[in-house]
Amino acid sequence: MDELVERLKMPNAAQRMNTLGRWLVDAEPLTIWERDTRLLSRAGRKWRRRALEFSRRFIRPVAVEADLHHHEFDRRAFINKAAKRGFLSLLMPAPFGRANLRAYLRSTIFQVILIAEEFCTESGGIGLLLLVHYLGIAPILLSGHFPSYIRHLIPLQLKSMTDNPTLMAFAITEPSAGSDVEETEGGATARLVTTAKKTTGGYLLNGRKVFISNGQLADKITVFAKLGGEALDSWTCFLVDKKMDGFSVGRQERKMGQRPSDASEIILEDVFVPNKNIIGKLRGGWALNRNVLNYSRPAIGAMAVGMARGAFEKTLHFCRETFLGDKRLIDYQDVQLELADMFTQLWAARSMVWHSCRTLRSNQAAAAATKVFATDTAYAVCNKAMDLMGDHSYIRTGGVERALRDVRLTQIYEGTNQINRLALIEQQWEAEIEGSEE
Amino acid sequence: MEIQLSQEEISEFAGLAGKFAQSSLRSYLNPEFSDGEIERLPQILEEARKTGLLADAENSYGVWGFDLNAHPDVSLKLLTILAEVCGGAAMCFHQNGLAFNILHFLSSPPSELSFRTVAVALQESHTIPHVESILKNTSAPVFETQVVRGENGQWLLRGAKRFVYSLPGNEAYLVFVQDGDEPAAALLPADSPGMKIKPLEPRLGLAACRVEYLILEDVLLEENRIFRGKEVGAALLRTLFIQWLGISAIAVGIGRGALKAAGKYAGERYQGGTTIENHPAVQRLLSGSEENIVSAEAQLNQKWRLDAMDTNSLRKAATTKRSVTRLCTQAVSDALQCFGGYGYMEDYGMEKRFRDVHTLKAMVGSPFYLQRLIHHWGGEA
Repeated sequence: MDELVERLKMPNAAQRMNTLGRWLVDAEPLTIWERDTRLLSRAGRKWRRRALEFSRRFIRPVAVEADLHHHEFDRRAFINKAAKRGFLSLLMPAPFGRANLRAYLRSTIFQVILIAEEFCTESGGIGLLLLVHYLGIAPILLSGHFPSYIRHLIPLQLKSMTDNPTLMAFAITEPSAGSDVEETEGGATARLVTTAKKTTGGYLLNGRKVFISNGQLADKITVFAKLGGEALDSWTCFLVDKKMDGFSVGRQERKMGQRPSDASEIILEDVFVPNKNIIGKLRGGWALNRNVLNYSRPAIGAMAVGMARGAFEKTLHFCRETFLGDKRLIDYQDVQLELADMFTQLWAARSMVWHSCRTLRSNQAAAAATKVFATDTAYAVCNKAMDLMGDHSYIRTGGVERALRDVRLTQIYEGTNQINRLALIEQQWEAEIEGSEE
Repeated sequence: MEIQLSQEEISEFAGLAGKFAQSSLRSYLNPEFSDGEIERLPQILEEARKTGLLADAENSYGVWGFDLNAHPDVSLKLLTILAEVCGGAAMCFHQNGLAFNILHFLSSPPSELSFRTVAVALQESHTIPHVESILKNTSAPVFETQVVRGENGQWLLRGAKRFVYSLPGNEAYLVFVQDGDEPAAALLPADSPGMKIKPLEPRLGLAACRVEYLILEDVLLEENRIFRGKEVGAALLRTLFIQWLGISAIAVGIGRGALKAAGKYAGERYQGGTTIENHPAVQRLLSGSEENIVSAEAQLNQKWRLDAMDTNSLRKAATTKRSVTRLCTQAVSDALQCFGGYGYMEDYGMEKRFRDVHTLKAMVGSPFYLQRLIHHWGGEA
């Protein structure tokens, strides 16, 4: 019986086919990771493999400590390591960055989402620590203002090769305006306090921003402020240097997860920002902010997939090592079914992230849908991982509960998943209704 | 003879638990600490002991106190009320009450015991023991931890126990073990020579309640502290039954607390020119959360009996734990989502509820393993 079963397995059974028939059977024993990687461009393959290697070599050994004792974790040293390997330079091709031009012209953020998944597989918090830099740069890139590229991106790129790279952050959220600044109707009534007042040679910024990822650590921050007493449609993006007078970092939030990256309050008290640090056009900030979210949301999806993949890999290991009765867990069919579900969900989420990023310009509906699907799916996968590991799952050194805590934030930031659903409707509905009535 | 309580007395109990939760437990949840001021917990538990809410050898009326045996619903209600404020503290009441209830079941009266706190040591792996042999009356071993005869004829305990839930400064362990073909139980003082206690830290949630591993290397047993006979099998089933229902009650309490907090926040937080309770997105979350909690409460509020433990009642308790913890986990997650970024921060207490309820779901049989058991034990049909 066992011999017959062996003979019936596809690789053996296929030997009875003719040459072409055999060739058409893909039974190569490759991981899905490897199969997916082989589908990528040369540059994509390169960065994905490099990120995996970096993640296992550098992130894995520190992931537990960076979560448990995040105040003692040497974040700067870690960022330097990543920067030297080019991981902070993939949002632009040369001379502004290190993204491969050919791949970049097909998809602006593809190379970034590849490394995002790999980093977060080992630690969502360290992934965020490294990736928030791109969020800070994004307004400069998306401003479409070539002089700003020269003025700001080239120095950033040059410094990234040194021992002290410049780290960027992005600041839109205010104490009374979180989701408001991430969707249109909320924006119209948002209670914003950060303002920019015209003065000789520049603007004076006053106000507060909260929940700013890497706010404490970053050297420069792209800050959005309304002009004088005007409404949100006057929003303008300013590049604020931490060394500027009047800039200070306030309260640091105590977060449930993604702890290696701080979430801090930024206080602006008569901070003078020169005209040259205006990113894009005056009053162009609202559109710029919304477009930044279009590019960042799929990256959040990729991060969530990475976190859930980390939980899945740990669960798979657990199921191989752990016995229930006289059998390993993985030998039980109901365990296999559960693992297969997790695997399928992860693959589907990754496919959606990759699909939504295969364009030069990022689309609001695709970005929002991807963020919602990938993060909700990743949360579901982490729940299944907890389920399979039972009591072992809640031990902090195991990593699965960390993935659960980390992934829960991806359903909240860059607009809650509820806000993202509305963003999808806002962008897509008219076209869909008209399209369906043609 | 079992004591029957009137509705007024039950309400009085509930009122007492409510007052205690609001006065003592709430103050324990100092926002400076993500899981409360754990150092203050022994003092708070002492207060609870005096109030009568924490059951032990002397107090037979607290949570799972043996004078409440006819009223499992009262213990469940008390746990729900306490867990609305702090799931971890409620877990302490549950575990101590459970241990004394089982001790009383095995050896009445337990008041001769000098221990003030006891924990049940049941599990040996990430899932619950195979209790089929007890249910089906076969001789298959339930535990790997064994009672063995020493060279001088004394009884020794050898093995390891995992995931033992106990109070801070726990004084004794009621350890379920294998004694030949039969399960047995042994009461071990925490300072027994040969017993190593390894705290399991840090953990996701329920930080107030300790989790320990016990390593038992030829621990000498006193004859009068070994329990043998048919009652031990029944006590084992009773332990699982109480454990699952108590965990379910705590999950419901955490869910209720989360929903109340989210409702309050939604009525205060402005967004888009109005409080967020007026936003359909938030309304959906709140109503979804409430629906899950109401369903969980309906499952929990059944006519439970501690005196007739069989496959069906155990199966029903397992189904309840599986379903209620899943529903409450979703309810807490939805409530947390109403807070946006604030829900993720320690200050609002929502992330603690999220961690606590997820821990409850995973412990003493996660939904996956309970599903296997429920199927394995067969149904009424």
